[in-house]
Amino acid sequence: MNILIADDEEVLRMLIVDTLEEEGHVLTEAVDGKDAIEQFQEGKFDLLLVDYMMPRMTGIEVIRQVRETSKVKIVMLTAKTQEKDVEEAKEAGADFVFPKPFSPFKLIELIEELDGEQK
Amino acid sequence: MITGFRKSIRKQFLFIMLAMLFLLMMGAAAAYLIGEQLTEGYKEKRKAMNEKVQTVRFVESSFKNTVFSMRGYIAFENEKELQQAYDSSRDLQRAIREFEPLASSSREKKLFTELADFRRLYMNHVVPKATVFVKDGDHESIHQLWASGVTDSVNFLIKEIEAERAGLNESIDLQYQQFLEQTKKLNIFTAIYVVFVLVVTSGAVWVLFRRIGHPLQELTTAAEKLAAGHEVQIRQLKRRDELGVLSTAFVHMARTIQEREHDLTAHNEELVMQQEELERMLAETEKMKNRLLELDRLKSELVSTVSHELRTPLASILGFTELMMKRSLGEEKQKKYLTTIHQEALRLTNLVNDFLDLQRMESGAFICSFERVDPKLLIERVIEAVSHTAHHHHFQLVDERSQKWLNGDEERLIQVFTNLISNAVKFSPKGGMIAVHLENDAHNMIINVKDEGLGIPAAEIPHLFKKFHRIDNSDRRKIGGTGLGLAICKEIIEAHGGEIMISSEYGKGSVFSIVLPLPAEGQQADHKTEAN
Repeated sequence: MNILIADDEEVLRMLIVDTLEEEGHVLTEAVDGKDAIEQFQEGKFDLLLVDYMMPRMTGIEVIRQVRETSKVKIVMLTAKTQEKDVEEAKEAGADFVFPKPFSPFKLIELIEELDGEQK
Repeated sequence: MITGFRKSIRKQFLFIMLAMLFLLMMGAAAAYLIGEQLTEGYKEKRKAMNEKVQTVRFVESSFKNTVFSMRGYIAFENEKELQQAYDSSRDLQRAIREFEPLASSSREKKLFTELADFRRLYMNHVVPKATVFVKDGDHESIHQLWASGVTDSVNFLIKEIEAERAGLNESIDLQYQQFLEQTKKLNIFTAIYVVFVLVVTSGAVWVLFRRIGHPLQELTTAAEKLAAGHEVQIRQLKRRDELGVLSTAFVHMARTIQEREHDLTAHNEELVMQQEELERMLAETEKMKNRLLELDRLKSELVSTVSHELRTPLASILGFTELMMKRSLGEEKQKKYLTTIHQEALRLTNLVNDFLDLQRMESGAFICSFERVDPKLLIERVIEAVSHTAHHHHFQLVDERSQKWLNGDEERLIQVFTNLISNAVKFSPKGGMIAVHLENDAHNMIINVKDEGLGIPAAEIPHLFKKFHRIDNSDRRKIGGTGLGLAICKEIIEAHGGEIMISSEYGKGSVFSIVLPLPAEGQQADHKTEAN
């Protein structure tokens, strides 16, 4: 799968990239919300992994903007796990909300599931 | 309050009316009596005059009868005529006797004397002689006798008597005229008297009404002012009539009303004050409520932020450890993962430490131990330590102070300087200059830390010292940090009685300034004190 990962924490991006590349996915990194939108418009992606708290543009804003033109699968990664935050993400158009901290293998499972749905 | 009036207005009015009636009646009675008297007097005089006129007429007729009978006797020698003359002579005698008491003026008295003398002479001498001459037929002697003055006397007396009668008639007319005039005078006087009484009475009534009207006017004005709610100063009338009583009652009423109004005003003021107090308390409660709500909101936000800040390094630690446990990795990757895990664990530790530190400071449990310190020495130590990990940056320390000692907590000040200098390093590009400058004025020491970094947008400056506030710029994220450093610096500097400020030009660099108060003159700089 072609996956775009948007997170301002370099360490976390590294974790996700290392985890998913091993499974055969192709990953592109974006360092903040604005960057994510730009990257999304340039490339062709099957899945978006978006962090909630990012500078310049929050994950919610990114999802809303992407949803205006695309039905691509979107997973929101967030340290904000309160119910209202989850609701907000779902309303904006996220297919799944994945709480931080998480198990990398759970993330692999989730992505395989979403891939299966898509096919 | 209302008792009998000693000088009631009604009584006064009644008195005036009665006085008027009395005076009018007295006047009428007097006029009547005087009129009666005048009439009576006139009637009596008139009667006396009439009698006198009768007497004079009697005198005249008897005199003429006597003289003319005698003439007849002489002319016709008739005895009857003679007899007639004698009879008339007796009448004349009686008439003269009647006339005597009535003769009042000297002329009348003279007339009386002349008549009496003439009769005596005529009857005693002339008539007997004439009788003899008639009997003798001696006409010559008779003629001579008459010519000797009898005829003259007779003519003179007749004239006199007639004049007397005419005079009496004139007197009667005069008396009547006088009576009429007196009556007229009486009438005029009576009329003047009545008018006078009426004028006096009217004047008295007018004065009485004026004495009522004026105070009534005053009372009315006062009542209107009182009704309009104004202060009324009214003097009490010292009178014993209805108005006096009314005035007393009114003054009493006005005083009661004004006292009540004062009471009401005082009461009202008290109420207003109570209301203001209540409103103030309500506002305070509202303020307190808002503050509590704000605190609650801040607390929730803090909890949310802290949980977020904790979850991020935890996610890395958890993720990499799981990868290491479940995947077979090369040695290089293992080392890289371990370094990352260590770094994130350190970050977590710093975060927890900083957070607890700040909590302690904010809750007031933070205690500085003050002693004599030279900040320059502390800064030199910090630069020494930081430069070990910042090989690509230049450091400069300029000292322009005249005072070098401060009262301060050495450890805490080192924390502040470390924070500011390592921030300056983090945000400056490689080869950048970090310049520390020390100076002082009369009261404060000023320490500036200048970098050549990105600078801070003006909009961010007010939020810079807030907890977990990081400038919304992805370039800064890579740099790391807990987001609590500047908040801690602010707490420490404020605990020293100082101030921390920032001036920055975006894109050119920032200057953090610390202003710390110098110890007061004569104060022992090494004196240890505690402050929160």
